[in-house]
Parts: sequence; C-alpha cells; structure tokens
Amino acid sequence: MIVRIQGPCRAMMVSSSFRRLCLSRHQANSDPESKNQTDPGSFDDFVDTLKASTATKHQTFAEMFRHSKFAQLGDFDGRMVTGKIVHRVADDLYIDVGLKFNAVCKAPAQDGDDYTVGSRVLLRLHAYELSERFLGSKKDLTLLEADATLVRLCDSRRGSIKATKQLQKIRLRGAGPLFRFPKQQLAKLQQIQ
Amino acid sequence: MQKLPHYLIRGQLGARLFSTTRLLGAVGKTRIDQQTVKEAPVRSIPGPDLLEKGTVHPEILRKYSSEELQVDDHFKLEPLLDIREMFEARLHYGHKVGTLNDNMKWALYGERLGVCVFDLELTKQYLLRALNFVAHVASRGGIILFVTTNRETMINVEQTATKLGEYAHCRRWQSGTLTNSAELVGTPIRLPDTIIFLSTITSLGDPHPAIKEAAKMAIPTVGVVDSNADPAYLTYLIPANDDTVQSVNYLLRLFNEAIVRGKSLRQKAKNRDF
Repeated sequence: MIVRIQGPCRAMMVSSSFRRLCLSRHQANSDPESKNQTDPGSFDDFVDTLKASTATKHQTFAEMFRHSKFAQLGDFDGRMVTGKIVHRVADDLYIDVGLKFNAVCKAPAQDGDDYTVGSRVLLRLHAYELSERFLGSKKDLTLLEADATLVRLCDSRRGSIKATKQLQKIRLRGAGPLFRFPKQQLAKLQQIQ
Repeated sequence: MQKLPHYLIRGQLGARLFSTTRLLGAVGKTRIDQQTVKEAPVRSIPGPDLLEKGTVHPEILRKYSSEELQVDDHFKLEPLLDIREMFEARLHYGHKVGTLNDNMKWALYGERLGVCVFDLELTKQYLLRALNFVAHVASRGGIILFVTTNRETMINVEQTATKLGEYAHCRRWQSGTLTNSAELVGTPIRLPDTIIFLSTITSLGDPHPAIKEAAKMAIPTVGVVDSNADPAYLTYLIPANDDTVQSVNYLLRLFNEAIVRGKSLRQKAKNRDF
C-alpha cells in the first residue's frame, strides 16, 4: 500500500533466486543422463521462481520486519504514500496509510465531493504519530493520528456519497409496504454501497 | 481435605468455589512451548504454605489442578496464531519512544526512527497463554467482560461480545462498578470472572479504572498493552498494538474462537453427563 519494493531488497531477492536457477541449470548440464530434471530455460519459469521464493518461505518476525515496507520507508518526513479514505466527517478525511494511525486531512474546496469513503489518495507524509513533549511532563502527549498533506486523488469512488444519503433516507423511512421505491434502483444503490 | 477460608468462597446463590485457575493466572515463568508430561492430578487441596509459594512459582500447584490444566495448550490454539497474519494486522506497531512506558521495554523488538516495534514472537507466546486462559474460563461457565474506550473499535467489541453471549462495557466507567456493586447495582450480584481489555488506556490517557477495581476484587484480567500503557495489575498481558482497527479485529477474532471452543467443550461435557 505504501511504496513498491525497491533498491537492495529487490536485488537481494533476484540474486538468490538467480543463484538457485543457475545451480539447477549447472546440475542439469553436468549430468546429461538425468532426464527427470526439468530444463528451466524459459524466462517465464525464472519469473515464477521470483514470486514463489518470497511467499512460501517461512520467515521469522525479524526477517519480516527487515523486508517490510515500514522499514523501507525510513524517515517519514517527505515520503509520498498512497492511502485509502476510511471515514469522512463533513470536510475531514480519515485516511489509512498502512501505519498505526490514520492521517486526518481536509478535503479541498474544489471537487471535494470526489473524496469519498473508499477512494485512494496520494499523500505527503510528515510524521508517523503526532506526539510532542510538553513542558513539565515526563512523557509525550499523543494526538493518536499521523501527519500528512493531501496531494491529489488517485482513484475516486464517485457517487458513493449520493448513494449513501439515499440509502439512509430509505432506512429512516423504513422499508414498509407504503413506501414505494423502484426495485431496480434500490438494488443498484445497494450494490454501490 | 482442608476447609477453605470463607473469603475465598464467592458468596452468592449457588456459591462458586474459588477455582485454582486464578492461582495459575499469577505472573509466572512457565513457557508455553515446553509441553509438560501428562501426570494424573492429585485429588486434594494444597496447604496454605504451598499456596503462598504458588503465588510466585505457579508450576508447583499444577499437579493439584484438574486434568484440563495439566497441559499448556489444552484448546490447541497454537495453529491459529500465525506471525505473518499478526504482521499484516499491524500488531507490531507501537507508539513513539517519547510515550514509551519503561515497564513495556521487555516486549519491544526495538525502536526504529523513534517508533517502537513489538516482538511478535513474544506477542504470540503471551497471546497463546491469554487465549487458553479465556477458553478455560468459558469452559467453566465463566462470565467474560470486554472493555475498551477506543471509539473506532468500540462497536466491534460490543458486537463480538453480544454474539458470543458475553458482556461488554465500552462507555464511561462508573467508579465503584466492581468494588461498590452492592450499592450501584444491588445484591446478590455475580461479577465477571474475567475482564478482557482491548485497550487499557481511556480516551483521556489514563489507565482504565476497571483494572485496579478488578485487581481489588481478585478478578483475573487479560489486557492488550501498547507501548505507552502500564502493565501493572493485569494478570495476562498481550503486548500488541491496540489503536489500529485491523489489530483489534484480529484479536477479537481470536478471542471469539477461544471462547467458542471453551463453550463447546462445556457443552460436550454436559451432553456426556446426560
């Protein structure tokens, strides 16, 4: 969700799989009589080996953490991350960036309605947690939220606000026999929800 | 057979005897991965000197406990705990170092750029112990109370508790709910047998008043302690993230499974007796 795997970690993954592949190929060549060994000649097999190595291998927590996106982020200030809007209260957007806390940002005045719950946004992260040591206190005071600036919308779930409001109206009035609502429209709204 | 002192017998209609599970709940050094040899439990109550020693070394009381308590992971909850899943549920995220409680340093893997990180190997061990305890309580017909003050996870906690047929208290805690229950609720009243704290800190940043009240009433507690929380007075600790919704949901699923297994064991025993 945050950043793609890049740099030394990816190189490490590639090199270990490549080494394994070269070894198996060497074994196949050195023993021409063994026909049960499959020839890993094609590029597709090589790509598959890359994918398989990270998923199936049992990792300790230390290994998981070392190769995590959190560790790769490094210093949080200035990093561009993508997040998903999980809650909206009027203008305030609560965005899940994949860290401990959600970032809270204001929806822009222009096209603010496009920033609906479930949309993906691009943010510039500043802090993992807004905690500061105040004069006289032994421990930091925490605001329980991450600090980020909204950059732009990546992928909007348009029409969701309208659909939510319409569904809320239906629920308030009750789905009794007196209330007539076209079945097709209702199904469509429920699908979007 | 020695007579138990009256203050150890829970006073109510159909008095519940003081169960030895509470004794084993004391902070001990028993390692969950060392499976003990299944010995036949001794059918007598230990003397007061042994009980006193047992508060520090609970292992010596093991042979006096019932059969189900002879094994550490009686409900076989270990396969349910996967470190990869915990990692993806963000259980390892702690607060910043500035908010770190010194009594939580033991649970951390370390600190990276000011952020505390929990050691999930330790979390798994403690979580397994806590889940087994909760399952045992449920299998004995115990009342379990879920407590949290985190606004985002409040509703999930209440729903989980209700579905299980257990209880939840996620609103303002009235001082004296447990210690002064006679006045606030009335008598006779059956208090919860276990309290599970999904978050030990209130929205004001103070430790939850129910922790000390439970300790005063000798009610064992299970608490999810974050890096800024105080682990004092809690019986079973689970050092993990308590602020993220995904983390709490993961823990709730596990508690749900543990309680379901405990209750099904109780049901099987009832059916067998008939």
